[in-house]
Amino acid sequence: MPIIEVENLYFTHAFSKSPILKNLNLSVERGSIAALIGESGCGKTTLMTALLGLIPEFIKGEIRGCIRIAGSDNPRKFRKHIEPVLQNPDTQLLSIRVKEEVISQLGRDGAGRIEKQHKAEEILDGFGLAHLAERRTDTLSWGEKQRLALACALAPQPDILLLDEPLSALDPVARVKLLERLKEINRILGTTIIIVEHEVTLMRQFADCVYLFNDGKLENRTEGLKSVDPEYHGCCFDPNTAEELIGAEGICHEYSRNVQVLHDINADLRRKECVAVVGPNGAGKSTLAKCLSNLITPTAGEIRISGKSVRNAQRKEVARRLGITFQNPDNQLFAQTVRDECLFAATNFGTPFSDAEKALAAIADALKIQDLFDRSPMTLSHGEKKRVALAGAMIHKPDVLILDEPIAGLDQWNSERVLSLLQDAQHSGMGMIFITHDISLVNNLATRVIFLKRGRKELDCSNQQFFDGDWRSYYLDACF
Amino acid sequence: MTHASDNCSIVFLKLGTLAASLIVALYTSNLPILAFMNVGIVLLCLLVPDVFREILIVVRRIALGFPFLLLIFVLSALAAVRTITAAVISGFLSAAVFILKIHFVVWANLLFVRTTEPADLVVALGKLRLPRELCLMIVIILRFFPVMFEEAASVYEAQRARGFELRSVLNPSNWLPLSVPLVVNVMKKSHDLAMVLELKGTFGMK
Repeated sequence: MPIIEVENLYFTHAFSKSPILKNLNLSVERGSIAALIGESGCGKTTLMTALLGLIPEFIKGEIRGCIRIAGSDNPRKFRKHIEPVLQNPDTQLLSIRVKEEVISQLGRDGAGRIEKQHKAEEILDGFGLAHLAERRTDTLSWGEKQRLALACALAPQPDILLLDEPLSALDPVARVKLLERLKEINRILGTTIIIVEHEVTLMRQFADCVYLFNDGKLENRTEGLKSVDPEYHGCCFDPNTAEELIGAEGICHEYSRNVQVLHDINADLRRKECVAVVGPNGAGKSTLAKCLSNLITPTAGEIRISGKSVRNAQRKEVARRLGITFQNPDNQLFAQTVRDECLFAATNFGTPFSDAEKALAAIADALKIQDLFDRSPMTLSHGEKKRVALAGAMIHKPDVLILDEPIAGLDQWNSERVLSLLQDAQHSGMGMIFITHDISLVNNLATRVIFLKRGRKELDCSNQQFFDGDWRSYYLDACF
Repeated sequence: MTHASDNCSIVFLKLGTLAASLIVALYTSNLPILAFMNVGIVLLCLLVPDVFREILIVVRRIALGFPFLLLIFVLSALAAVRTITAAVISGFLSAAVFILKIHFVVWANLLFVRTTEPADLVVALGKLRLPRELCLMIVIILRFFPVMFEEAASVYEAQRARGFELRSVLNPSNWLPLSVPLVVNVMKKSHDLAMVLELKGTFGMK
């Protein structure tokens, strides 16, 4: 008998007219692994909230149909069979110390304090977190936080584990390790696992059945989803004659408390060049990108943008040459409409209105965001926000694009749109530096790869050389 | 176990001193006493140089508001006193009292927060037999304080990257590109947090 049964589920948000879930059916067998894949804004999060039994209380709207989990259709009852790991583990960790977090999860049975302490240590040990037991939760790295959230979700031994995009912030090797671990949990404890993701290829290997969202319904099929294209489409340029856009020499950076993030890094970027900055979690990739974008001043070293040192240059003059996007698009969306949002940089830099409009039309066409122009950016889905943020960064025709995880959290179709836009930008003469964990993006876009590990540049070579070598081995022993 | 109870009594001692000194600072309007307390707290902070530096950064930002405070007091004194010199003097005196009060409160609170481990504070509050919900609230505030700071910093960075400059602090519409994303993010976070608390059955609902 299936442990999760969803029959003819309809859901309409209180603020929208058309239903986001239409006649959705899902049935998951006890002890199996199911993956849910779909385009951004398709209702994955809504379905998750419904499965957690939080729909009438936390997301307002009209719900019809039936959800039955472990034989019960009462949300308050089935809720205790299911434990989530949210996309952002930060919101899930409420305690100040790692060990307390686990203990608080054990609170439901009436065991004594000492007993719980031992149990918590055991659980932490099982997830390789024993050495962090006394650490503060806010000092953990992303991967560690996620592992802790997973350990906590499994502590009360739920029947079902629900994971919301657990892979999005992990490096390639950490991804495989996490999936292996989940598989082991599934095998040993018999926990049913539901995983909401974008990674089609990995999911097909990992899950027992893969469901695809299509127009508010779930379909049990994966055809039409192609695997990674192994061919390299980068464009050629002559590294010796091409004009230097960014040059960095001897960059060191340390945050307070003597934590050195970057050690003596040299890097340069030339016109039409596409540099991928890769490396395990916590290698200093984002910090390097921020240094190169003149957002933070490194403690030592010199950065030149278009041949001029940034130390004495006007910040705005430097910013005009750069287009930057960040991992989390929520940090920048503020305008009333998507159109205003996209044009914000153009207004700031004084780009003529007609030029900006023309550029916007072209970019919007490539990213398929024209239909969103009059909507408020706050109501968009993550993938839509991400594309709007990219459009906003390219509107003033910068020389250099600096992109932090440009396609993380995007589904396959949107990733392709972003990729082709970036390839066009490269052909038109932009330079690009992007940080990614997505090896297929490196393969498809980068002309050069810089590999960072623990703040040091381990490797700086052409795309060809990177993939000829054993790139997986670079990631090992540093992560997860 | 002795270690934990030691920490606990230190926290109680600090909490007691903090509460007592804050009450004195807020109720007295005696300029010499306030000045003395201010000098004392700054000297105390000098004992921990790292904390001193951090507080100094915060105080410098707050100090930006002091001239306005001064202006307000001088203007309001003008209504009560006839001559301008008298207004300036009495305005300066009352502004000085308020500034010293604010200054002391900021230093004392920051010193307490920066030198107290949140975990110890929670244990101490638990011993005071405060309601569990209240303790939890305090824990969550302490837990999310650094998170919020990071959030604010990254919003500022994201907008600066698009050529945003905080031209005039006084015009509230200039703040929109910073405040809107920050407020939206915080609301979203608190929504998620509420969801997590509900799921964990924290308030006895599960």
